[in-house]
Amino acid sequence: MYSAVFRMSPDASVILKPDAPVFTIVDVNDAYSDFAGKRREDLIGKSFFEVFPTDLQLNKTGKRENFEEVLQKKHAVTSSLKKYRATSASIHSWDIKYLEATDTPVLNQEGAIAYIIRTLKDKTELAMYKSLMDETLHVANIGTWQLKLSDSLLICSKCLTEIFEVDADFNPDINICLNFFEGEENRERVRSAIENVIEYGAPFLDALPVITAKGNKKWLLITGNKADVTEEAGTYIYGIMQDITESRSLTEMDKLEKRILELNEKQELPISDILCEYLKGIESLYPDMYCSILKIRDGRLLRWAAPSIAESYLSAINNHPIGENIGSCGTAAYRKRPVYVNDIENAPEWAQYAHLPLALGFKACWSYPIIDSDDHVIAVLGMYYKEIREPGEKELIIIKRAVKLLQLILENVLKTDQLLNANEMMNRVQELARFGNWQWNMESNQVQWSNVLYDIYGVNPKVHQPGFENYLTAVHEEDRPKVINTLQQIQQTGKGAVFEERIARPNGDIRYLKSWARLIDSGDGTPPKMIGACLDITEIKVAEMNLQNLYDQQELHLRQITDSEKRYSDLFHLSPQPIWVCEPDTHKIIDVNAAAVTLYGYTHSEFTSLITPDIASASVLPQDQGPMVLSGLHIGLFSKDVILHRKKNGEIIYVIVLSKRIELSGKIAEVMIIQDITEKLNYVQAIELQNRKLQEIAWMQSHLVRAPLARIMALADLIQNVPESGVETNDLLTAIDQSAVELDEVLRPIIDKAEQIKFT
Amino acid sequence: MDVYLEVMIVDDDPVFRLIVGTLLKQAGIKPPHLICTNGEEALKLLEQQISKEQMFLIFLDINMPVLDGWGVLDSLKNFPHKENIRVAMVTSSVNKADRERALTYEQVISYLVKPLKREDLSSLISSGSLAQFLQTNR
Repeated sequence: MYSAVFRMSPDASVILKPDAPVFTIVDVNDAYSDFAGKRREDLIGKSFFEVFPTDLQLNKTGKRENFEEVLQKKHAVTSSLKKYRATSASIHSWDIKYLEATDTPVLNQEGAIAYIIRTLKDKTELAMYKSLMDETLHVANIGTWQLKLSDSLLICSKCLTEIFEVDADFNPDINICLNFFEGEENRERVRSAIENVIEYGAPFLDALPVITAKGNKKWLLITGNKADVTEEAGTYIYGIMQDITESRSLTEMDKLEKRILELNEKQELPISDILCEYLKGIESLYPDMYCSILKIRDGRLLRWAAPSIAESYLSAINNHPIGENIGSCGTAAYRKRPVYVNDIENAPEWAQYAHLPLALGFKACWSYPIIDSDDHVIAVLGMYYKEIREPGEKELIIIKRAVKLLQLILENVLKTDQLLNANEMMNRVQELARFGNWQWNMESNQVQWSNVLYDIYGVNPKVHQPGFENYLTAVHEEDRPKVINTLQQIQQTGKGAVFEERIARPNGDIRYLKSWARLIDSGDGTPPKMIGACLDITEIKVAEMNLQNLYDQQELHLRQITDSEKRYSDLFHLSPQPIWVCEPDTHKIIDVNAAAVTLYGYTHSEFTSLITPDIASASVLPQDQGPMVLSGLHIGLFSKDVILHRKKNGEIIYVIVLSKRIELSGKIAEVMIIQDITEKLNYVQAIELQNRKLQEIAWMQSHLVRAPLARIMALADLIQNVPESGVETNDLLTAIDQSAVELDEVLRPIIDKAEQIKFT
Repeated sequence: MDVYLEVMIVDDDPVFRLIVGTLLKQAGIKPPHLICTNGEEALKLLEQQISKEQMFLIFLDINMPVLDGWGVLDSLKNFPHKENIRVAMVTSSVNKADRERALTYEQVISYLVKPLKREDLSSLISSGSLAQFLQTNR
């Protein structure tokens, strides 16, 4: 009976003799036979390892050792879950099975092992379920943790180590793990929650930010609960931590967008402040991101909002025309599609401008054009990063949401602005125009005025009764006949007319009006009406009159200037002093007076084709005269440098030039006043020459004449007074004779020179 | 310190050299006197003989060949031991400008006009300028 039960058992079992190392198969049940894919007859009586040389295990370890342990310890041994490749009902396919093998000793009456029963339990479903759970947790970014209170060690699942971005064998002390939580306040929250679990068994659930081992900020949903205490495991608490960064970003984005829409709705803040608020919110969600919004107007980039980008950068790009390869934003606005630049330094879009963002450390920039419903680019959203990177899928979702919201807000704002501007302009036009209209029923003599007309006439609409007679009374008496005549003409001819008239307000102010009037005939037999409008043109008239006064004054002033200019012109042309006017830079002569024409011999037209250097000719100064004239006379006789000018006939004259710069017809000109000192200089030169000759005579007298004379005198003295001189008297007399001859020779040229001197 | 006074006559005219030498002898300044016929000779001789112990009194004409009296005076401005040299100009020039010019030189103590007279030499020898010169360097 037992044999039948054994064979029918659903668990695959095999009975073995404990005749190690053979382990002869005594019996197998149907389940084992099926599992092994062998008939029962082929197994019984054979060695277990002979039949299954490689066993059915894919992982062989622990098989023989299990039997050895059973023989040694005489109690059942269960191996850990093993993965098997088992035959299925169809021989041609293999199934993966997770099996748990239990080897149980059967003892005889003496307590010795009579048999070993190996039973295989199919745990495939359980294993698959566990694997599925692990994968599910991984996909959902859920990591599990377990904290053993005995040693404060935190056991982390693989997924949790991935969340914290640490090695897979990371099992730290709980206090080390707490450091991942951002801020002391959050660490205290976790610490307190764990204490509550331990002390009161109160489970917890919280969402907190952490900074991972690689410095990334993440938001975790963390739960914790106290486990049942077992003798083996001791007290521990366990829970999960789920990475909710992405979902939290979306949630935060939701909140941010809602807040921005509220701000926009309230219209309490200028749009630039709202945009700044929005960008700050995005930047707080994505700390690596630096955002800007540039307005596009008239094809140019205009700064609008950029809360975290340096002023210097925004100033540099402000008012820059959009275009191909004008940075990311300029290009995106131009192309009307997003531009992703992952590496600014090497991107053609930034070829000319990369130094600007690189100076701030920006290495990547993505730009999105904001396009309104009329297909106009109204703004560009720019996102800068300080690392070379490509946009991630999650970031693109956020960015596209931001673009949609900005499109909504900005189009609304711009359209509202346009409407407000149009209304404002209309109001201003109405106010400024001072335009009023009227209607006159000539039969009943009833007149209706618009409100502006009362204002123009300076009367209170509640008191004043408009009418034709009242109107004529208000018209200035000088204009009254013209107005009556015009209105009669309209009535007679039926043609409209335009006319101007003056009116007097009750306070005496005179206003100038431009009026239109015409008849309206309804054609139904009722008497025609006259309608009209008038425009208060007082300000224009006053301005015209002021302009006329100004013009008159200018005319007068101009006449005075002309008179004055004529006087100065007369002084210039009639001056006996030669004068000309030239351009200071080119020295071209612009005008010249009659005295200059007379002195130099050039005609007026010849003069004005010359430049001053044509006339100045210092280079022709004779070498033997130059130094004397210029050096000798410069200091003593003349206060200015003496220079030489050449007349038309080639004659050289000595002149002193006084020059002064003046403003002539809005330009700087140089007036040159010429003083001809030739005659004076010739006179001085003659005196100088005479003096030189006299000096020569004096020198000759002193040195040449007196030398032989003194010698004669000395010789005479020697003869008379020094008889002991040792020289023969005859020799002395000969010397006297020679000296006399010498004296005669010297005197002749002196007489010649004296004759050359002409005293004037 | 023993110092010695040397008299030098610089003139291209032999008559005047004779007259100056004779008058010096009469005035008690006995020969030998150093005789030069132009300025260049005078400067060479001075360069050879000038020393800390040797003083010179030079009778110097202005108008001479090779190097005139003005050239000699200019050279003496930077001459070694120039403090030991004094000059009496002996010239036929009565030109005031020449006199004034000569007296601008530090070493010129007298301007004598030819023909030289005994009184002129007596005045020079007894003059304070020469006495002070001889006293200072003795």
